[in-house]
Amino acid sequence: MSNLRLINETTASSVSSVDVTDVFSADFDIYKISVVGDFTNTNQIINARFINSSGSVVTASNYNYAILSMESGNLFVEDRNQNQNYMRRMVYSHTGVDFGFVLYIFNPYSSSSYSFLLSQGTGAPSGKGTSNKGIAVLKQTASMTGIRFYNVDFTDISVKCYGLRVDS
Amino acid sequence: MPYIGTQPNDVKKNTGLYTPSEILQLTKDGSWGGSLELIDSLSWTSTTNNLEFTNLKEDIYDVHIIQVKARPNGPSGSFYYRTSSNGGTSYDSTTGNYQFAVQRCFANGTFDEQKSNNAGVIELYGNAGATVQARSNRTTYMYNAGNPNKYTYFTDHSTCDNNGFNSTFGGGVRSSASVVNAIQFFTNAGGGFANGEAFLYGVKQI
Repeated sequence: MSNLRLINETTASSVSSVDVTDVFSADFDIYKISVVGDFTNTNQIINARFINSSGSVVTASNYNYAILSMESGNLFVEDRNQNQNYMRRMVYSHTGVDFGFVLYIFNPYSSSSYSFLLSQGTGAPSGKGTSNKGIAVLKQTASMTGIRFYNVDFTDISVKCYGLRVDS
Repeated sequence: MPYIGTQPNDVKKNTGLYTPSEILQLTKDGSWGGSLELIDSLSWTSTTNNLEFTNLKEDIYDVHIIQVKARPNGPSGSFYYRTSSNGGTSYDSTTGNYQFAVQRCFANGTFDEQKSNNAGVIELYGNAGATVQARSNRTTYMYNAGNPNKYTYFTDHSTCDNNGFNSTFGGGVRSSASVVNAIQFFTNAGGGFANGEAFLYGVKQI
Protein backbone atom coordinates (compact mmCIF):
# COMPACT_ATOMS: atom_id res chain seq x y z
CA MET A 1 0.00 0.00 0.00
CA SER A 2 1.62 3.21 -1.05
CA ASN A 3 1.17 6.50 0.73
CA LEU A 4 -0.35 8.21 -2.25
CA ARG A 5 -4.10 8.73 -2.26
CA LEU A 6 -5.61 9.45 -5.63
CA ILE A 7 -7.99 12.33 -4.97
CA ASN A 8 -9.09 13.42 -8.40
CA GLU A 9 -8.50 13.01 -12.11
CA THR A 10 -9.42 15.88 -14.40
CA THR A 11 -9.34 15.44 -18.16
CA ALA A 12 -10.22 17.98 -20.83
CA SER A 13 -9.78 18.64 -24.53
CA SER A 14 -9.92 21.77 -26.68
CA VAL A 15 -9.74 24.16 -23.74
CA SER A 16 -7.54 27.15 -22.95
CA SER A 17 -7.29 26.48 -19.20
CA VAL A 18 -7.95 23.67 -16.79
CA ASP A 19 -9.16 24.16 -13.23
CA VAL A 20 -8.56 21.37 -10.74
CA THR A 21 -10.93 22.27 -7.94
CA ASP A 22 -11.73 21.03 -4.44
CA VAL A 23 -8.68 18.81 -4.17
CA PHE A 24 -6.73 20.46 -1.35
CA SER A 25 -8.25 19.97 2.08
CA ALA A 26 -7.40 19.50 5.73
CA ASP A 27 -6.88 15.79 5.01
CA PHE A 28 -3.38 16.24 3.60
CA ASP A 29 -0.50 18.68 3.90
CA ILE A 30 1.42 17.59 0.79
CA TYR A 31 0.02 16.88 -2.67
CA LYS A 32 1.47 15.38 -5.81
CA ILE A 33 0.03 16.29 -9.20
CA SER A 34 0.99 14.53 -12.43
CA VAL A 35 0.00 16.03 -15.78
CA VAL A 36 0.27 14.82 -19.38
CA GLY A 37 -1.18 16.37 -22.51
CA ASP A 38 -0.64 18.32 -25.69
CA PHE A 39 -1.50 21.76 -27.05
CA THR A 40 -2.16 23.46 -30.35
CA ASN A 41 0.50 26.14 -30.71
CA THR A 42 4.24 26.24 -31.14
CA ASN A 43 6.67 26.71 -28.26
CA GLN A 44 4.28 27.42 -25.42
CA ILE A 45 4.77 27.64 -21.68
CA ILE A 46 2.14 26.39 -19.24
CA ASN A 47 1.64 28.63 -16.22
CA ALA A 48 -0.37 28.07 -13.06
CA ARG A 49 -2.35 29.92 -10.42
CA PHE A 50 -3.90 28.70 -7.20
CA ILE A 51 -7.66 28.68 -6.61
CA ASN A 52 -8.75 29.80 -3.16
CA SER A 53 -11.42 28.40 -0.86
CA SER A 54 -13.99 30.79 -2.34
CA GLY A 55 -13.40 29.26 -5.73
CA SER A 56 -11.62 32.32 -7.11
CA VAL A 57 -8.42 32.13 -9.10
CA VAL A 58 -5.72 34.04 -7.22
CA THR A 59 -4.36 36.75 -9.50
CA ALA A 60 -2.77 38.97 -6.88
CA SER A 61 0.90 39.80 -7.42
CA ASN A 62 2.04 37.58 -4.58
CA TYR A 63 3.80 34.81 -6.48
CA ASN A 64 7.55 34.28 -6.65
CA TYR A 65 9.15 31.66 -8.88
CA ALA A 66 12.50 30.38 -10.09
CA ILE A 67 13.01 27.79 -12.81
CA LEU A 68 15.98 26.31 -14.62
CA SER A 69 14.98 25.34 -18.14
CA MET A 70 17.38 22.83 -19.69
CA GLU A 71 17.14 22.76 -23.47
CA SER A 72 18.99 20.11 -25.46
CA GLY A 73 19.68 22.49 -28.33
CA ASN A 74 20.13 25.83 -26.57
CA LEU A 75 21.64 27.49 -23.56
CA PHE A 76 20.05 26.66 -20.24
CA VAL A 77 17.72 29.41 -19.10
CA GLU A 78 17.14 30.76 -15.60
CA ASP A 79 13.58 32.07 -15.43
CA ARG A 80 12.81 33.82 -12.14
CA ASN A 81 10.79 36.69 -10.81
CA GLN A 82 9.10 38.08 -7.72
CA ASN A 83 5.72 39.65 -7.01
CA GLN A 84 4.09 38.21 -10.10
CA ASN A 85 0.45 37.29 -10.57
CA TYR A 86 1.16 33.72 -11.69
CA MET A 87 3.60 30.81 -11.38
CA ARG A 88 5.53 30.42 -14.59
CA ARG A 89 6.75 27.53 -16.70
CA MET A 90 5.33 24.30 -15.34
CA VAL A 91 6.58 22.93 -18.66
CA TYR A 92 7.74 24.23 -22.04
CA SER A 93 6.77 22.30 -25.17
CA HIS A 94 5.41 22.35 -28.69
CA THR A 95 2.25 21.36 -30.47
CA GLY A 96 2.02 17.74 -31.51
CA VAL A 97 4.83 16.45 -29.32
CA ASP A 98 3.09 16.44 -25.93
CA PHE A 99 4.47 17.19 -22.49
CA GLY A 100 4.57 15.80 -18.96
CA PHE A 101 5.21 17.31 -15.56
CA VAL A 102 4.93 16.53 -11.88
CA LEU A 103 4.29 19.01 -9.08
CA TYR A 104 4.58 18.74 -5.33
CA ILE A 105 2.52 21.30 -3.42
CA PHE A 106 3.01 21.99 0.26
CA ASN A 107 0.47 23.37 2.75
CA PRO A 108 -1.98 24.80 0.20
CA TYR A 109 -4.99 24.43 2.50
CA SER A 110 -3.32 25.96 5.55
CA SER A 111 -4.48 29.47 6.32
CA SER A 112 -1.41 30.12 8.41
CA SER A 113 1.36 29.30 5.94
CA TYR A 114 2.33 30.15 2.39
CA SER A 115 1.62 27.66 -0.42
CA PHE A 116 4.81 26.23 -1.92
CA LEU A 117 5.30 24.36 -5.18
CA LEU A 118 8.05 22.20 -6.72
CA SER A 119 7.88 21.47 -10.45
CA GLN A 120 9.66 19.02 -12.74
CA GLY A 121 8.63 18.84 -16.38
CA THR A 122 9.66 17.75 -19.85
CA GLY A 123 8.63 18.76 -23.37
CA ALA A 124 10.09 19.48 -26.79
CA PRO A 125 9.85 23.13 -27.94
CA SER A 126 10.91 23.39 -31.61
CA GLY A 127 11.42 19.66 -31.48
CA LYS A 128 14.28 20.00 -29.00
CA GLY A 129 13.97 17.96 -25.82
CA THR A 130 13.72 20.24 -22.82
CA SER A 131 13.44 19.65 -19.09
CA ASN A 132 12.70 22.14 -16.36
CA LYS A 133 12.92 22.16 -12.62
CA GLY A 134 11.46 24.93 -10.53
CA ILE A 135 10.14 26.33 -7.30
CA ALA A 136 7.32 28.76 -6.60
CA VAL A 137 5.47 30.22 -3.68
CA LEU A 138 2.21 32.08 -3.18
CA LYS A 139 2.93 34.53 -0.38
CA GLN A 140 -0.55 34.53 1.06
CA THR A 141 -1.61 32.98 4.35
CA ALA A 142 -4.90 31.88 2.88
CA SER A 143 -6.52 28.54 2.22
CA MET A 144 -6.17 27.20 -1.35
CA THR A 145 -8.36 24.37 -2.60
CA GLY A 146 -7.32 24.01 -6.22
CA ILE A 147 -5.03 25.01 -9.06
CA ARG A 148 -5.45 26.37 -12.60
CA PHE A 149 -3.20 25.51 -15.56
CA TYR A 150 -3.40 28.00 -18.42
CA ASN A 151 -1.60 30.07 -21.07
CA VAL A 152 -1.99 27.55 -23.89
CA ASP A 153 -4.78 26.00 -25.93
CA PHE A 154 -4.83 22.39 -24.82
CA THR A 155 -5.79 19.76 -27.35
CA ASP A 156 -5.94 17.34 -24.46
CA ILE A 157 -4.82 17.27 -20.86
CA SER A 158 -5.01 14.78 -18.00
CA VAL A 159 -4.35 15.90 -14.42
CA LYS A 160 -4.13 13.46 -11.53
CA CYS A 161 -3.97 14.79 -7.98
CA TYR A 162 -2.76 12.69 -5.06
CA GLY A 163 -2.56 13.33 -1.33
CA LEU A 164 0.46 12.05 0.60
CA ARG A 165 -0.88 10.05 3.50
CA VAL A 166 0.77 10.47 6.91
CA ASP A 167 0.74 7.50 9.29
CA SER A 168 1.54 9.21 12.54
CA MET B 1 -14.29 5.64 -5.35
CA PRO B 2 -10.54 6.28 -5.26
CA TYR B 3 -10.72 8.70 -2.36
CA ILE B 4 -13.39 9.16 0.24
CA GLY B 5 -12.46 12.34 2.05
CA THR B 6 -12.60 13.23 5.70
CA GLN B 7 -13.81 10.36 7.83
CA PRO B 8 -15.90 11.05 10.92
CA ASN B 9 -13.99 8.50 12.97
CA ASP B 10 -10.50 9.62 12.08
CA VAL B 11 -8.45 10.27 15.17
CA LYS B 12 -5.81 12.26 13.35
CA LYS B 13 -5.96 14.81 10.61
CA ASN B 14 -4.15 14.31 7.35
CA THR B 15 -4.04 10.53 7.53
CA GLY B 16 -6.14 9.45 4.57
CA LEU B 17 -7.56 6.59 6.66
CA TYR B 18 -10.23 4.19 5.40
CA THR B 19 -12.83 2.11 7.19
CA PRO B 20 -12.99 -1.65 6.48
CA SER B 21 -16.16 -1.27 4.43
CA GLU B 22 -14.52 1.41 2.33
CA ILE B 23 -11.49 -0.82 1.78
CA LEU B 24 -13.80 -3.57 0.55
CA GLN B 25 -15.50 -1.15 -1.82
CA LEU B 26 -12.18 0.15 -3.10
CA THR B 27 -10.95 -3.40 -3.63
CA LYS B 28 -14.06 -4.20 -5.67
CA ASP B 29 -13.48 -1.07 -7.72
CA GLY B 30 -9.85 -2.01 -8.32
CA SER B 31 -8.67 1.16 -6.62
CA TRP B 32 -7.25 -0.34 -3.43
CA GLY B 33 -3.51 -0.78 -3.15
CA GLY B 34 -2.42 2.81 -3.33
CA SER B 35 -1.68 4.83 -6.38
CA LEU B 36 1.63 3.27 -7.30
CA GLU B 37 1.85 -0.27 -8.60
CA LEU B 38 5.19 -2.01 -8.32
CA ILE B 39 5.39 -3.55 -11.79
CA ASP B 40 8.83 -5.12 -11.59
CA SER B 41 12.02 -5.08 -9.54
CA LEU B 42 15.62 -6.09 -10.21
CA SER B 43 18.33 -7.04 -7.73
CA TRP B 44 21.81 -8.27 -8.50
CA THR B 45 25.08 -8.95 -6.68
CA SER B 46 27.43 -9.77 -9.57
CA THR B 47 28.44 -7.74 -12.57
CA THR B 48 25.45 -6.83 -14.70
CA ASN B 49 25.87 -4.77 -17.82
CA ASN B 50 22.32 -3.76 -18.62
CA LEU B 51 19.31 -3.32 -16.41
CA GLU B 52 16.22 -4.03 -18.45
CA PHE B 53 12.53 -3.76 -17.75
CA THR B 54 10.65 -5.64 -20.44
CA ASN B 55 7.18 -5.53 -18.92
CA LEU B 56 6.13 -1.89 -18.58
CA LYS B 57 2.35 -2.38 -18.63
CA GLU B 58 2.44 0.61 -20.92
CA ASP B 59 -1.10 -0.14 -22.05
CA ILE B 60 -2.28 0.64 -18.51
CA TYR B 61 0.01 3.43 -17.31
CA ASP B 62 0.87 6.69 -19.02
CA VAL B 63 3.22 7.75 -16.22
CA HIS B 64 5.94 5.49 -14.77
CA ILE B 65 8.51 5.92 -12.01
CA ILE B 66 11.88 4.18 -12.19
CA GLN B 67 14.14 4.05 -9.16
CA VAL B 68 17.73 2.79 -9.41
CA LYS B 69 20.26 2.32 -6.62
CA ALA B 70 23.35 0.85 -8.26
CA ARG B 71 27.12 0.74 -7.80
CA PRO B 72 29.18 0.66 -10.99
CA ASN B 73 32.31 -1.48 -11.29
CA GLY B 74 34.44 1.58 -11.88
CA PRO B 75 34.36 5.29 -11.15
CA SER B 76 33.67 8.36 -13.23
CA GLY B 77 31.32 6.96 -15.80
CA SER B 78 27.95 8.07 -16.99
CA PHE B 79 24.49 6.52 -17.07
CA TYR B 80 22.11 6.00 -19.96
CA TYR B 81 18.58 5.02 -21.00
CA ARG B 82 17.54 3.39 -24.23
CA THR B 83 14.08 2.31 -25.30
CA SER B 84 12.69 -0.66 -27.16
CA SER B 85 9.56 -1.08 -29.23
CA ASN B 86 9.82 -4.85 -29.56
CA GLY B 87 9.71 -5.92 -25.95
CA GLY B 88 13.45 -5.76 -25.40
CA THR B 89 14.56 -7.91 -28.33
CA SER B 90 16.59 -4.89 -29.39
CA TYR B 91 17.03 -1.35 -28.13
CA ASP B 92 16.91 1.70 -30.35
CA SER B 93 20.32 3.38 -30.70
CA THR B 94 19.57 5.40 -33.84
CA THR B 95 21.38 8.72 -33.79
CA GLY B 96 18.83 11.49 -33.78
CA ASN B 97 16.10 9.52 -32.04
CA TYR B 98 16.98 10.91 -28.61
CA GLN B 99 17.61 14.29 -27.02
CA PHE B 100 18.64 15.19 -23.49
CA ALA B 101 19.57 18.14 -21.31
CA VAL B 102 21.03 17.77 -17.83
CA GLN B 103 22.41 20.07 -15.16
CA ARG B 104 25.29 18.55 -13.18
CA CYS B 105 25.95 19.88 -9.65
CA PHE B 106 29.23 19.09 -7.91
CA ALA B 107 29.76 19.89 -4.24
CA ASN B 108 33.24 21.18 -5.05
CA GLY B 109 31.55 24.11 -6.75
CA THR B 110 31.37 23.10 -10.39
CA PHE B 111 27.97 23.26 -12.09
CA ASP B 112 27.74 22.50 -15.79
CA GLU B 113 25.31 21.85 -18.62
CA GLN B 114 25.23 18.62 -20.64
CA LYS B 115 22.98 18.34 -23.66
CA SER B 116 22.42 16.94 -27.13
CA ASN B 117 19.58 17.20 -29.63
CA ASN B 118 20.98 14.52 -31.91
CA ALA B 119 21.81 11.55 -29.75
CA GLY B 120 21.50 7.78 -29.97
CA VAL B 121 20.84 7.43 -26.25
CA ILE B 122 19.51 9.49 -23.35
CA GLU B 123 22.56 10.30 -21.22
CA LEU B 124 21.66 11.36 -17.71
CA TYR B 125 25.09 11.52 -16.04
CA GLY B 126 25.71 11.10 -12.32
CA ASN B 127 29.31 10.68 -11.28
CA ALA B 128 29.28 7.57 -9.09
CA GLY B 129 32.27 5.80 -7.63
CA ALA B 130 33.12 2.14 -7.31
CA THR B 131 33.32 2.04 -3.53
CA VAL B 132 30.56 0.46 -1.51
CA GLN B 133 29.08 3.71 -0.31
CA ALA B 134 29.37 5.51 -3.64
CA ARG B 135 26.28 4.25 -5.41
CA SER B 136 24.26 6.15 -7.95
CA ASN B 137 20.76 6.78 -6.65
CA ARG B 138 18.17 8.12 -9.04
CA THR B 139 14.48 8.55 -9.66
CA THR B 140 13.15 8.90 -13.19
CA TYR B 141 9.67 9.73 -14.41
CA MET B 142 8.64 8.42 -17.82
CA TYR B 143 5.62 9.74 -19.75
CA ASN B 144 3.54 8.40 -22.67
CA ALA B 145 5.41 5.11 -23.16
CA GLY B 146 2.36 3.28 -24.45
CA ASN B 147 1.13 5.84 -26.94
CA PRO B 148 2.28 5.14 -30.54
CA ASN B 149 1.59 8.75 -31.54
CA LYS B 150 3.48 10.51 -28.77
CA TYR B 151 7.09 11.04 -27.84
CA THR B 152 8.23 9.28 -24.68
CA TYR B 153 9.59 11.79 -22.19
CA PHE B 154 11.85 11.36 -19.16
CA THR B 155 12.71 13.59 -16.23
CA ASP B 156 15.44 12.47 -13.87
CA HIS B 157 17.11 13.44 -10.61
CA SER B 158 20.15 11.64 -9.19
CA THR B 159 22.55 11.85 -6.30
CA CYS B 160 25.86 10.05 -5.95
CA ASP B 161 29.44 10.27 -4.80
CA ASN B 162 32.82 9.86 -6.43
CA ASN B 163 35.37 11.34 -4.07
CA GLY B 164 32.95 14.21 -3.73
CA PHE B 165 29.20 14.55 -3.69
CA ASN B 166 27.39 15.37 -6.89
CA SER B 167 23.84 15.41 -8.14
CA THR B 168 22.10 15.80 -11.48
CA PHE B 169 18.70 16.83 -12.69
CA GLY B 170 17.27 17.09 -16.16
CA GLY B 171 15.69 14.78 -18.66
CA GLY B 172 15.40 13.51 -22.17
CA VAL B 173 13.04 12.41 -24.85
CA ARG B 174 12.73 9.68 -27.42
CA SER B 175 11.79 12.09 -30.18
CA SER B 176 10.51 9.40 -32.47
CA ALA B 177 6.90 8.57 -31.77
CA SER B 178 6.45 4.88 -31.06
CA VAL B 179 5.18 2.56 -28.38
CA VAL B 180 7.95 2.01 -25.85
CA ASN B 181 7.46 -1.40 -24.24
CA ALA B 182 10.91 -2.00 -22.73
CA ILE B 183 13.68 0.18 -21.35
CA GLN B 184 17.37 -0.41 -20.75
CA PHE B 185 19.56 1.39 -18.21
CA PHE B 186 23.33 1.01 -18.41
CA THR B 187 26.67 2.59 -17.53
CA ASN B 188 30.07 2.94 -19.11
CA ALA B 189 31.76 3.00 -15.71
CA GLY B 190 33.93 -0.07 -15.27
CA GLY B 191 32.02 -2.35 -17.56
CA GLY B 192 28.72 -2.56 -15.75
CA PHE B 193 27.08 -2.53 -12.36
CA ALA B 194 28.63 -4.46 -9.50
CA ASN B 195 25.47 -4.62 -7.44
CA GLY B 196 22.29 -2.79 -6.72
CA GLU B 197 18.57 -2.83 -7.18
CA ALA B 198 16.01 -1.14 -9.41
CA PHE B 199 12.25 -0.71 -9.27
CA LEU B 200 9.61 0.09 -11.86
CA TYR B 201 6.28 1.56 -10.78
CA GLY B 202 3.17 2.51 -12.67
CA VAL B 203 1.32 5.57 -11.48
CA LYS B 204 -2.20 4.30 -11.07
CA GLN B 205 -5.14 5.83 -12.82
CA ILE B 206 -8.73 5.87 -11.62
